[in-house]
Amino acid sequence: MRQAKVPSSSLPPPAASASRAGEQAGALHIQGVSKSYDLGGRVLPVLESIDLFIPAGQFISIVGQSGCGKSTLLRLLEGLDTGYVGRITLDGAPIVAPGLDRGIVFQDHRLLPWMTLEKNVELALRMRPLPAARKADLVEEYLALVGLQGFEHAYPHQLSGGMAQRAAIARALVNEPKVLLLDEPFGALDALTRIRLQQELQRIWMRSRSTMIMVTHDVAEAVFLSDLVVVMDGKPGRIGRQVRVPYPHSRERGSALLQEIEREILGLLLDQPATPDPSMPSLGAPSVTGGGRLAAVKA
Amino acid sequence: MTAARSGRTVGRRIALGFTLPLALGGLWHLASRRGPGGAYAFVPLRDVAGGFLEVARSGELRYDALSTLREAFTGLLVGSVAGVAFGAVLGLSRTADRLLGPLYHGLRQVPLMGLVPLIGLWFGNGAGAKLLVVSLAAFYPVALATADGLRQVERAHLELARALVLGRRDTFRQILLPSAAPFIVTGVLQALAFTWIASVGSELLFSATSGLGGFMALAQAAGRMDLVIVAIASIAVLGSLMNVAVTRLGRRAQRWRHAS
Repeated sequence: MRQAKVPSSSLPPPAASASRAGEQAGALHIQGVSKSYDLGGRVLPVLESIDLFIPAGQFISIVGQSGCGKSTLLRLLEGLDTGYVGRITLDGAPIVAPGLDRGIVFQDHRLLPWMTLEKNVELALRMRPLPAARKADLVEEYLALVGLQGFEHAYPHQLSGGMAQRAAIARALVNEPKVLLLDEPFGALDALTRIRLQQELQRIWMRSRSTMIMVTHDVAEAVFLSDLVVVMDGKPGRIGRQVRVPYPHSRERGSALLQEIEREILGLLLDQPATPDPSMPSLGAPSVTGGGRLAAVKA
Repeated sequence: MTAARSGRTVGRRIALGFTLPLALGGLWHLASRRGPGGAYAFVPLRDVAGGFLEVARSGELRYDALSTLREAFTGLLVGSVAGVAFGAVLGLSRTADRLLGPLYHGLRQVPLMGLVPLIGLWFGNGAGAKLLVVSLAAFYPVALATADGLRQVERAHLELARALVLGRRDTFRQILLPSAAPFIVTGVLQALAFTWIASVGSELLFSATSGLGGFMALAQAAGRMDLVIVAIASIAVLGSLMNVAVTRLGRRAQRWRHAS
């Protein structure tokens, strides 16, 4: 059976903080960040005056229309791109380059095809001065956390998309980073796998409680997982509203409370009033993707 | 997979492959029967067969064949090692590419055999000179394959290396080299064909007395056209067999790539 799941109660607790690449915090401060690209003379602004404070241990989603710069912002947080105006700090220290205190999951899993899952995850520990036995333990632990125990010796091409992405998450977490960055991590997966992985990610976040910042197109996904949804708008990208999702984890997909917030955010994105129209027919039973529902009703 | 092919299909393929050579052999036989000139221009197959048995029994053919094979493989080894090293420099360093690239590509245009007089002048015509020629035959394709292989490493993987803060050595060993490996392997396998030809060629041009090329030259000097045909046929057959083996190995190396 490929998609074996492990009930969280049977997993060992996360490793002691001694193996952490950084300290316990993970608060991000983005101040006055603007970025533009120089296209042969023409200047293309991508981000404009981004001010954002992300407290430690929170799950934040960034949603917005295509081209609003949300992925660019994530890359700045990871340190993959530089050359911006403003300041980005992690627990006070400025971010200038990638570091092991931050982990990133890309939309394509980027597992190296010539390595087994085990070796792929272990690669993230390459720059850590830990004894080999400790590294092996960490790899095993995090593969188990994402439900892939038993697949250590599998090669990426033998896995489904969902499993490969779970392995990528394990690799990003094995250093126990302060911040986990996810760039549309489930965008390339089919709807059912996406739902399953959203639940997995919620479970993983509840166990590790690292700061997680996810860029996504899927509003329902954002509302389901996040404590705060940052709505970006415009080209160049600007922070629009920041919508709190004040409900405890773990959450039920499609609950009325979450739907309410989904509607609000979609309204912002689609330029609609935030309050629901009483003359519209009742939405009835909760749907899986609130967005499709609303768009259908509106149309 | 080829393993699943039925015996009939394999047999059919081999039969088809032999059709043309057999037909040519038939034509040759007919041509050799046409008057006194015919037998002179086209050595009768019977004589060729006789000559083959003669040198096969005496062990001379085997000795020469092994000699050329040894040269080819040694040259392949030396040329490949140098090729990978040089190709790595070209593939990894833009500056090096700009500096060394033009000279390398320029020299590559000159047929190896055209360099023989120069090599003969500087290195004589002993084993060393032959090794140099054969190694060069392998060097060019392997260096090219290595440089190309290193350059085509996916940006996504290079970004991953940056995100994982891998040092230069680790990036090379864990990502660049494995990524380029299929290209390099293909280059080496292709170079084998070139070294085989270069071995025989250098034997001829350096007036060697051993190896299949040397054997052919001696036979010609002695007026033994039947043995010349035997030499040509041996070179062709051995070369083809190596080609088949190389293509099979190459397919296995590619299988890894397609799996990714």
